Amino acid sequence: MSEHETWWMKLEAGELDEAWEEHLRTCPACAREWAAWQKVERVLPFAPAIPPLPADFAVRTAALVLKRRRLVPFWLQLLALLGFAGLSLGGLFLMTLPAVGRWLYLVWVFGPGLARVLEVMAQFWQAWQGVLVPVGLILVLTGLGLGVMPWITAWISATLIYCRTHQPCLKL
Amino acid sequence: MDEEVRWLQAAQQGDPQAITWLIERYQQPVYGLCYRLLEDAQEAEDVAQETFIKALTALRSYDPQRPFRPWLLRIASNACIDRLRRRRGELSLDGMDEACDSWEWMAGADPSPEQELEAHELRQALHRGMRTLAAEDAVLLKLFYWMNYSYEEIAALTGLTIPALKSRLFRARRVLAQRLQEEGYV
Repeated sequence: MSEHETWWMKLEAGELDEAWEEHLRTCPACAREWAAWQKVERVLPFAPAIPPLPADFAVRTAALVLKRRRLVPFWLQLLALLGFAGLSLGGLFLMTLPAVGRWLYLVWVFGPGLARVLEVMAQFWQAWQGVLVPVGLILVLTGLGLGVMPWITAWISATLIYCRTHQPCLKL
Repeated sequence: MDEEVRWLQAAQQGDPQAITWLIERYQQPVYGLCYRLLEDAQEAEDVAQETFIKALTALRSYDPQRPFRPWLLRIASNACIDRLRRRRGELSLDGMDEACDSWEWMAGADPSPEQELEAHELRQALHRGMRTLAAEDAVLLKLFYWMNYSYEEIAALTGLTIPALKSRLFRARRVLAQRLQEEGYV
């Protein structure tokens, strides 16, 4: 490393005072660079004046932020769609179980092997229909989008379960 | 509870009034930073807008107890550095000398008439020199001299340690001094 660089490294480390002044008197290269350095220091604090922002900047930007925040990522939309579709199908299945059971019973006539399965399903349906119908309806409603308003779903489900368990006020 | 924390919490819930409040409160510092770093009003406005969109859409994961301003300015300065890096490959230095119409003194007491005269002559040379620096080094100089940020503030914005920051500022100034020598100003 040259002597010139060594002096500048010491300057960077803040190790110089009188010795540096002395060196500048004997080293033209350092003296020239030091003069340029001082010019840089004097001129750098002049900064470009900042022009005014358009008056509607905040309003325009807020609108863009709100628009962007409303956008749901694609994968989440897909997941929600699949979830709601699954819930709807599951709900419909539960609600139509008696009809499906009857249809399957006809199949059973021609397929004795299914007898036991259908019998169990029919027993299950009879025992749990008070719960299965409201739950199925709730799932359908949820699947249709009412799930975004959980209090409506909760209210409907509470009413349905109450009616089914206390008196047959709601025939489904 | 601090007023800003309340607005931040409301903005996290998507309250349009809170979002507008935050933008109005910080639009000048963010735009000022972008303008000084990019030296182009339209580009600065675009980057300031991008900064707010990025920060305020990511607000759900932000802890409102943390200071908002440094976080926001950090997003803005990173966006400006990205722009400057891209710009290096796209723009020539010719014809850019008069990009800024007016200048202001950022160092406290007014400059002397000699300084004013000297600055007028040297400013463009220094400006050209700045554009030859690495984007990060030019940004450090501008944050220190043009935005009057302290070492601590710049360190928080850039993630540099203070000794590393001082060293880079020293070297960047030295490069500028060498450019002035090469152009015959000394």
